[in-house]
Amino acid sequence: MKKHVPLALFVVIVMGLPVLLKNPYYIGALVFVGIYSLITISLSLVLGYAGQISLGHAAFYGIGAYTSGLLTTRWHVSPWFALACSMVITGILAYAIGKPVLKLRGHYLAMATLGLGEIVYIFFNSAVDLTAGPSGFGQIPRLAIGGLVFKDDIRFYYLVWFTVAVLLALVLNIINSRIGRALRSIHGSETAANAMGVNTASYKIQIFVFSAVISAVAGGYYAHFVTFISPTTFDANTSILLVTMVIVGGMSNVWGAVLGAALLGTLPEYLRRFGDYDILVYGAIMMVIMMFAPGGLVSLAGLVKQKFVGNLSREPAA
Amino acid sequence: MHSFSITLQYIFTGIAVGSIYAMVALGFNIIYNCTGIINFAQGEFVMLGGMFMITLTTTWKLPSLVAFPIAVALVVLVGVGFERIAIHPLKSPSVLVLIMITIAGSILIKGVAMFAWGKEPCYLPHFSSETPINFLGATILPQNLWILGCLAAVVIVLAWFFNRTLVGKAMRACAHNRDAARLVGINVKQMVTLSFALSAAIGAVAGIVITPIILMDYQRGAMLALKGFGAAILGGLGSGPGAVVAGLLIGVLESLGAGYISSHYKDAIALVVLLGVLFIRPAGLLGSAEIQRLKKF
Amino acid sequence: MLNVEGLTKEFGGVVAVNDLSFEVREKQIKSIIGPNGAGKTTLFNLLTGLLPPSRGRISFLDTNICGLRPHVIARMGVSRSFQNVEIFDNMSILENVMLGRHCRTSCGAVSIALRRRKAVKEEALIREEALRQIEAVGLDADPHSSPAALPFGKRRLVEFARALATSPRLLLLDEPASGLNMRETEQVAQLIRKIRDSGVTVMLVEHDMSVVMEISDDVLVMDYGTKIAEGKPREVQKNREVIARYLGRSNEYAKNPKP
Repeated sequence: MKKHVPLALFVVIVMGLPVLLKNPYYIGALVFVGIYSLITISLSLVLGYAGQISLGHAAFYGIGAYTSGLLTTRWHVSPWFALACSMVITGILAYAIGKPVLKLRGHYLAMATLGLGEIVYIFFNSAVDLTAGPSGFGQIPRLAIGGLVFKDDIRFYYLVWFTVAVLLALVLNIINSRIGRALRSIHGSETAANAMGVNTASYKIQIFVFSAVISAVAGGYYAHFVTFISPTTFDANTSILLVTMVIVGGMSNVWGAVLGAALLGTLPEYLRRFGDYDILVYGAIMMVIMMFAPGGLVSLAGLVKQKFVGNLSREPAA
Repeated sequence: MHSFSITLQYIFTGIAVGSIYAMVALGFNIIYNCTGIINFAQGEFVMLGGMFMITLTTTWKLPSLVAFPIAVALVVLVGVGFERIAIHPLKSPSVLVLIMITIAGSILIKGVAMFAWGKEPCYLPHFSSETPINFLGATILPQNLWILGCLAAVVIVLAWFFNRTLVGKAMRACAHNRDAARLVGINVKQMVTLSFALSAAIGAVAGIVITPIILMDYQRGAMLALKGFGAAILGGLGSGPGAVVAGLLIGVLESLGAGYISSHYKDAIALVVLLGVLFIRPAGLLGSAEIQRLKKF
Repeated sequence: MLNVEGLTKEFGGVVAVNDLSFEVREKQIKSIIGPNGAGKTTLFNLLTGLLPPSRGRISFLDTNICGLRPHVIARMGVSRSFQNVEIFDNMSILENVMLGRHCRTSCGAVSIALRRRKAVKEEALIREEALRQIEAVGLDADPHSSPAALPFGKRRLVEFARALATSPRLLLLDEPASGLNMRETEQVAQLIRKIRDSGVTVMLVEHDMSVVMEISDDVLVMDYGTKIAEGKPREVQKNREVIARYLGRSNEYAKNPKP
């Protein structure tokens, strides 16, 4: 049962935060943190567990947002169905992209995913007839369950963080299982993993597609929350920001992914008075973390972790 | 205009832009050969070269001939500083850490550039006359000849440096086998710093000559770097002649593609080439021995 | 159980394994010896599917395994250790060994994510079996600690335990005694015997002749990718060509004392 303590604590915090934070403005910011968390949790499986670098995840985020946005505004598909469609379409695209891309490693993989992200970004900008080009489009309908429309920040807050909690529960089960070990073995040594009977190529694709599909959900949420989308939200800077969130938090730990999203996702709020120069702060944080704590903030809390969580993880499954 | 002349026009433009890609690719190769690092901040060296040149010539009113070497020297200083501060102290970093550090470096440089020069594109006058020269119905800007000349100069200097000088040979030894180089008394760490210096210098030259044509702003470097990397891959990562040929090829392809297919997707063309090569033949069209290197990742 | 016929592997123009044929019988210990560069590790990589052969046939339990992918071959019951010990430092010792059970377990992502009873039960079995193998190889270290800090000899034991956790029919050991001291070498030799006695067929590449001669049922001598002798340890030791090329103190050996 101890295993469930962190998750339970997490749910309590998430439920309680809106009560503490009276300012609706902060709730809005936390919605974005939730949307980012969806991506970073799934991205940490690709990056930290399976050890595959992706600098193009904003593309899947964007494809999800555009598919859901276009289906609902142009063809008046119901938002939930549109969201499901965007998951399927992004999944298929991610499979088609992942098949050749994941054969690459290291720098090659990084550049290839960066290039793919850039191509998708160029497409959003250039396919004006479909995407309305650089100016983007609005009036995307909101999500609703029966009569309950997720129209204000606080309702959307609960929707997003409910999704994050569900994802976390599923992912935490996965990482402490044969599949989680298989993913980490790919990171450790692909050759040895293969020789021990792990179908590394298949696992790499599966986890890549999974994280793309979750990113599409995040994109769909973004579209239906903001009700307006344009290409700049999904450019290479976003891809890099997502990877930075995962790394700053601690890439081989899903809680790190949430922590990273929370820190860097709210950073713009603290840096408001710096205006556009927040880019300098981002760069500096990234540089310092990479140089002095490549394991991320979670690894800095290593001492504490060994005392508490370390013992927890040792308990056999109750 | 005659259709032949139009094609010729596209090719001329392509060669000029391609020369820039070739220089960026050379910069990637020099650092890669010496360290195994792909420097994601390579494009920022290009951007800085143009920006420094603009400040030196327009604000400080220095004559171009004086400003040029100073601008290059300043970028070299940035390159060396970046290596010394962010890369030199690391002990056996992983590929991911190196990628993220060079990306962080590029973000920092971009930020500082935005702070220093603002967000608007900056203008630099052409080196010489802006009157186009007629050639078989197509026109060539004198600046394009300057670009081509600079590429030629860079290639000649690099060839001389790597083949004739002791330091250049030592750097090649590092590229070949770092441990062996250390054993024969080459200071490998110094060579790494030198590779960043050299790479920054080439980037700066590329940035200075291209600025009069494309204007320069703080975030211009990223796309140039991505396309330059495409050239480096197409030519076979680590191969000098490959980088030059592939850079020119990508420039021409892009120019023809923009002219005959769609100017919207101009930037995508180089990226599609990059991906195509990575998927089909990661050793590059011109490289073959580089397959060995791939295994290092 | 393993039949190799005319196996050849070329790298560019270099022939690493040349028209090699041999047989491994059930429950025997077969050693492959030969100087460095004789193609021994390449042979292991061919047998486990890490490299595709250029020509030839490998049949394991009467099935042709040529061209099958490594994870499929592993599932059929061929496991291995690596010359330089390839264990996963990003996992605990226990998790390393638990990974070995991967190909013997089957719960999918959905039942794991939802913690269906089947998945929970399977995970418990995996853990149990892994702990059993850690004990079987005689590894005395906290199974929950990272293997990164272990001395080389113990890292090798982790790798053995992981390989055994796959429930192999055939176990390939690539230089199991290299880098070990005399006491550790003796332990490993005992362990290999114990593994064989438990019904697992063992093939090993080894340079330590005392180990090879002591535990092998059969020895195959390779040089330049070809077989130059095969037989009982005693017979091989007496073989003229082997002595000339490799074992004895011939001129060649004196010039090149580290085979």
